[in-house]
Order: sequence, then C-alpha cells, then structure tokens
Amino acid sequence: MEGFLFWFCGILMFLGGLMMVVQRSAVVSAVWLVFSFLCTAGIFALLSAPFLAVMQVLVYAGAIMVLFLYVIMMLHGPVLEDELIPSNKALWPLIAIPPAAVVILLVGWVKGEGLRTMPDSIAADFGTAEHVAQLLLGRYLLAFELISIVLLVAIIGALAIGQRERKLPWK
Amino acid sequence: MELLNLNIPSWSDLAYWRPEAILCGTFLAALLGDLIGRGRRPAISFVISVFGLITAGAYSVAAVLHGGAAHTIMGDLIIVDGMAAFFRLLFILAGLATVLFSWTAEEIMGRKRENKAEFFYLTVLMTAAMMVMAEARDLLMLFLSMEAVGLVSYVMAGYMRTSLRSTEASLKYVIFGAVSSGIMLYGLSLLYGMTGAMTFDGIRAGLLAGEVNGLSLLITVILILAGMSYKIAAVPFHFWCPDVYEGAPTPVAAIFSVGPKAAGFALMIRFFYTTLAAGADPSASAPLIELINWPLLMAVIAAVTMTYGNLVALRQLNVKRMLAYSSISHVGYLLMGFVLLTDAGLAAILFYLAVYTLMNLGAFFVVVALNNHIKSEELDDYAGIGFRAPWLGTMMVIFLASLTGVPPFAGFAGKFYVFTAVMDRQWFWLAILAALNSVVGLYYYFRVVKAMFLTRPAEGADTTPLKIHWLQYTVLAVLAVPTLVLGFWFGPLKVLADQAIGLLSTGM
Amino acid sequence: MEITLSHYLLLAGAVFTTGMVGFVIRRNAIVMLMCVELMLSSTNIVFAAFSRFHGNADGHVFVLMNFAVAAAEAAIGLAILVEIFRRRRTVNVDDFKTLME
Repeated sequence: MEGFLFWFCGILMFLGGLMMVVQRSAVVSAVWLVFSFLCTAGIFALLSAPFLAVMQVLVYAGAIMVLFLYVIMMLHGPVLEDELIPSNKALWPLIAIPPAAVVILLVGWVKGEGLRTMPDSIAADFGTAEHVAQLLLGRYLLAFELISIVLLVAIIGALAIGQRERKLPWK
Repeated sequence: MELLNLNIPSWSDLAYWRPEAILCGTFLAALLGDLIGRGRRPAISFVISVFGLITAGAYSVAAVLHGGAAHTIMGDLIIVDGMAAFFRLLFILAGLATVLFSWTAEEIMGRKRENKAEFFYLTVLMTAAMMVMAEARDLLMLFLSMEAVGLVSYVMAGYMRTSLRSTEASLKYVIFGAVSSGIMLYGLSLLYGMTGAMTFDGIRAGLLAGEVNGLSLLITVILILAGMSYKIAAVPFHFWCPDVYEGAPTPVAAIFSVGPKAAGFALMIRFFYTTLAAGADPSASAPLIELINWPLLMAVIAAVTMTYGNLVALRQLNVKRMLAYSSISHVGYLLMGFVLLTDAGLAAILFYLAVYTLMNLGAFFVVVALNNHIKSEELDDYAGIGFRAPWLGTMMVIFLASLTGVPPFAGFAGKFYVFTAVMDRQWFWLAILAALNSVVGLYYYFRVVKAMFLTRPAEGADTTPLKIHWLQYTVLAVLAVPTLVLGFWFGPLKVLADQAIGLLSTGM
Repeated sequence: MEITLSHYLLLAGAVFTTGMVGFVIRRNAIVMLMCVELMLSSTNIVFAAFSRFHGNADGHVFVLMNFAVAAAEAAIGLAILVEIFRRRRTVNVDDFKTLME
C-alpha cells in the first residue's frame, strides 16, 4: 500500500512540476503548481509527518499559491509567453548539480551499506502537532521568534514597496 | 498539555543577548514612532534608532570588557563568544555610521515620497539580524538569519526607487536571491541527512564518525557555498552587486557593501571552521578538508573573484559602480584567508573586515556627501571637486589609498596579514596574483583622486566651495582617523581578532 | 517493492531539477518565482525524509520555518514585481534590458 501511494503521489507531484514548467500560461502554471503541492502533502503523510501534510495544504497550496494567483489575476496582462527559450544561458550548468548530488550521495551509500531502508519502528507520536510543537516552542524557541521578525519585515516591506505617490494607509 | 511540559531552555541565558534584544525593541519602537508621527516626522524614528544603536553598542562593549567567555543561549542555537562580540561591534559601528550619515543625505531625506523613517528602522533590524548571523550555531538559525538579512536587503533595495533601473535591479536581487537560498537549502538538507544533526558540533561529530563519501560532501559544500557566495557577492554569484549598488540610494549601497558581506564572512567562518576544521582533535580534521580539496576550491574562487572585480572596475566611469566592483575584488582578498582554514588566516579575515568596513563605508559616504551637491556619481563630474571641498577630498584620498593597500594606511596592514597567512603555507601563486591585483587597483582608485585634484573643471563650471554638514564631517572623521591610525598602530585590533578566533577553536 | 529513503531522495532531486530547469527556461518573472517555490518544496521532502530516517523531528521544524520563509520571500518578490509591472507593463525578464547584460 505504501508503495502504491508513493508512486501515485510521487509521479503526480513530478508531473505537476513538469507541467508547470512547460505551460506557456502563467495561470495554468500556477494551477499545476497547486496540484503538485497537494501531492507533496501526500508524500509528507507517507513520511509520518501528518502535521506537515496539513500545513503544506493550508500554507503552501493554500495561502502562498493564492497570493500568486491573485497577483497574476491582478496584472491580467501579459501572462502568456510566446515560446520557451533559456532566459539566461550562463545558468545552465547549475542544473546539473542537484541530480549529481543525489546520484553521488546514493551511490556512496549503496556502496557502503546498500540501499537505506527507513527504520521500521518510530515513536507513536512522531511528526504529530504535539511532537513538533514540543521542539518548536522548546529547543527552537529562538528560531520561532526570529521567524516572527522575518514575517514582520515581509509585511512592512510589502507595504513600503507598494506605496505609490499616494501615501501609505497610515499616512 | 501543560505549558511546563514544554522543554524551554533556561531563560537566564538571554542576559547575554541584550544587544540583539535591544535592537529588536528599537526596531519596534521606531516603527511605532513612525506610526505616531504619521510618517511625517522621520526625526522620531531617527532619534530612537540612534539611541537604540548606541545602547546596544554600549552593552556590546561591556560584554567585551567583561571577558570573552563563550555562552550558548537557549540551548545550542546561538553562541556569544569572542567572534560574536567582535562582529557585534563591527555591525553596530556600520549601522550607526550609516544612520547618522543618512540624516543629512539628500538621497534619503530629500524625497517627496514619505519613505525616510523606514530606512532607519530597517537598518537597525538589519544590524540585529547580522549579529544573529555571526552567532548562529545551528543550521536552522543559519538559514533564518540569512533570510532575515536577505529580506531586509530586498526591501531596502526595492522601496526607495530612484529610477526604473533600480526597481529592475531589486527584482533581479530578489529572484536570484531566492533561487540561491533554495540551492543552499538543498545543500543544508543533504548535510542534515548525512549527519542527522542540526547543530554545527553535531554535524562535525557526524562527519567524523561516519565514513563520508568525499564527492557527496564536496557537492554538498558547493551547494551551501552557492548560497553564501551570493550573500558576499563572490564570483560567480556577484552579478547582482553592481546593479543593486548603482540602483539603490548610496547610503543603502554603503551598508550593503559592508554589513551583509561581513555577516556572510562571519557565518562562513563559524560554519566551515566548526564543521570542517576545528575540534578537540585538530589532526582528525585534516582528512575532511583534504577529502573535498577545500584549499584548491577556495583558492580558485578567491583568485577569480579578485581578478574579475579588479578588471571590470578598470572600465567603470561611474564612481559608485567602480566601488561596487572594487568591493567584489576585496571579497576575493578576504576569501584568501579561507584557503587553509587556519587560525592565522581566519584572524586575518577578521582584521581585514574591520579595516574594510571603515574604509569602504568612508568611500561610499564621500560619494553621498558629493551627491548632495553635484547630484552625480560620474567621474567626469568630480573634476576639480577636491578644491571645492578640500577636507572631503583629503578624506577620500585616505579611504582610497587604504582601499588600494598602500602603506601607511590600514588597508596595507589588512592585506599584509592576509598575504602572510597564505604564504605561510606555500600558496605563492595566490599571493602573487593578489599583489598584482593590488597594483591594478592602484590605477582605478587613483583615477578618482586624479579627477578630484588634478583635473580642471569644465569652463564655466561652478567653483564655489561646498558646504558639508557638520554631522557628515564628524562621521567621516570617525571613519578616517582609524583608517589612518590602524595603518601603523594595529596591535590592539590584531589582538582582538586573534582572541576571537582563538576562542573559536578552543571554546565549546 | 519496499520504498526506501533513496526513493524519496530521488523524487526530491527530480523535482528540484525540474524547478531549476524551469527557473532557467522561463522568462515570466512570476513563473520564475513559482519555480523557486517548487525547489523549496522539494527541499522540504528531503528534510522530512531524513527526519523520518534519523528518527528526530528537527527536520520537521525546519520545514515549518521554510513555509514561513517561502511565504515572506513570495510576498516581497511579488510586491516588487507588481511595482515593476505598474511602470513597464511587463513581467518578462527579457524586456528588462538593464538587467541582463
């Protein structure tokens, strides 16, 4: 069952990403990306990360992609590209690095101890909201505070960037 | 579940984190002040920011004077040690100088659009985030603090729009910044996978314990370096630098050219030194560095960065753009200290960073001061300006001579330490290349001096003396005097840098 | 067939590469930002997979933070993009002649 779900979610996730890249229309691309993110949530669920799966749907597929779609709709101008050609050829070599990293990592491991299987036993509450919250508000409390600052900067920054000749809401 | 069940580490550690806490509070207070003043009273934010920076600076100095024992804060995420204290002082100096100088900078204050106050409190927040970068000891804090600094930079580059070009530059900055942090994140995730740990110490233990595949470690390191190189603007991730500096108001470019770069170096020092080089048993670390051929990797990056920056700077006719490329070449010199990950090399980086902060901020500030009057950064418009503002011209000569690295200025001492650190380990080709690059630098830095003092202004040009605000003179003097003095009396700063790195290797 | 850690890593690598390719071949700045989101999302899978593998939930915390950072980056990036569109009437990076020397 796990195998079927992995192949199902994994292939659809990859397909979603691929379709996003090859679609000429930005709107269609965004919808494919939402689809891909929903499948990612499935992968998270398979990885004993129920909390992440829920957050993936709510935050990523929900909030962030809605923001993207909203902006695309707001600009409602040239959302269609004529053809897909490399925008910056100097970046092409970078593409080779991620797959090389994965392949080399895997080859190194397989030579060492064979394919790494996931450990069978795992704590019953692994990856639940309670488990993650224990870490988030315990050991990583400082990081939690830092991210609040990051989000505050994003809010203020978006307001400051968006101000036009007319004034800010509070000015 | 009760709140007590949460495994919150000791709160009392936070006392060591006062400067950062004060700066965050200052940010919020200045933001509120801006709201209360309805955006029409930037003085409120300015005063709060200056006051907060001075207070945080006082606490940082006190922390240095009270001895440099290392303290971790709230578990393992953050460490306050000698190096953190060193960088705290550096960042507060840069932040304070920028805020004070911008008060009279027309590029910030003389705009119709009401965007003055944001600059002050964003600078304060950037200072705080940079301090966290210098203190991070955990992959999560490393990533978050880099993102915090990055986001503040994107906003600062983007919201003060001087021209269409500047907006486009900020878009480029954001998009490529996002992709480079994504690449770095991929490297971090692989590193976490290889070792199963998030803290730098845990990663090191994991790397030493397991039989790590050299090639996979190399690729992971390259992925992580990609993100960090973007922050410090090393080739090949430098392309944003000249455009963003040119597009942004000069005070913003000034803080960009020293702050995030120094913070990036602090992060790199702590990260690579702790994971690859340091530890209780130094002999055990040699295989790790050899495994990925670290010295050659860094030497090539350093050589390419400094040569590229210098050669392109030669062709620039815009002073701001020239300074941008020169800052790229200085990143190359700084990276030389990384080649061997030795204590001497890293201490040389710290020393050079301190000197670089002084002289580069100074050079940018002179551009700001001139821009107030002549509204231009083109070299041609600088003709004869040295006679209209003799003191300003003299200080520019000091900063540029120091950037070139001629004795007896501080830049020479900085370069001297970096070069000796490299030559100690027989990397002669790198040292020779760097020396040749310094000679190239002589040409384009002195072209500015020539324009200011040796070129006649065009017929009918304005030759009245320039009135420079006293605050600007004060800040410039505070930067210029150490630039001059550190050239021959560099002992104390060297001791401070050595101590900072020494603690890094023995402590924790 | 058992699903091993390697399966997850290969999947994440493939998706990451897709995002990277998209970033390079697309010229619409909005879509370029979306490709970055795809890359970040694939990194999250790596973290979650290793988290399961090592049996510690540190990776989960990292993924959560990543959500927030991705949101913040998207907000800032899109804000700048809207600002550019307002002046240039385009979001095609090839039209930004000043950008791509």
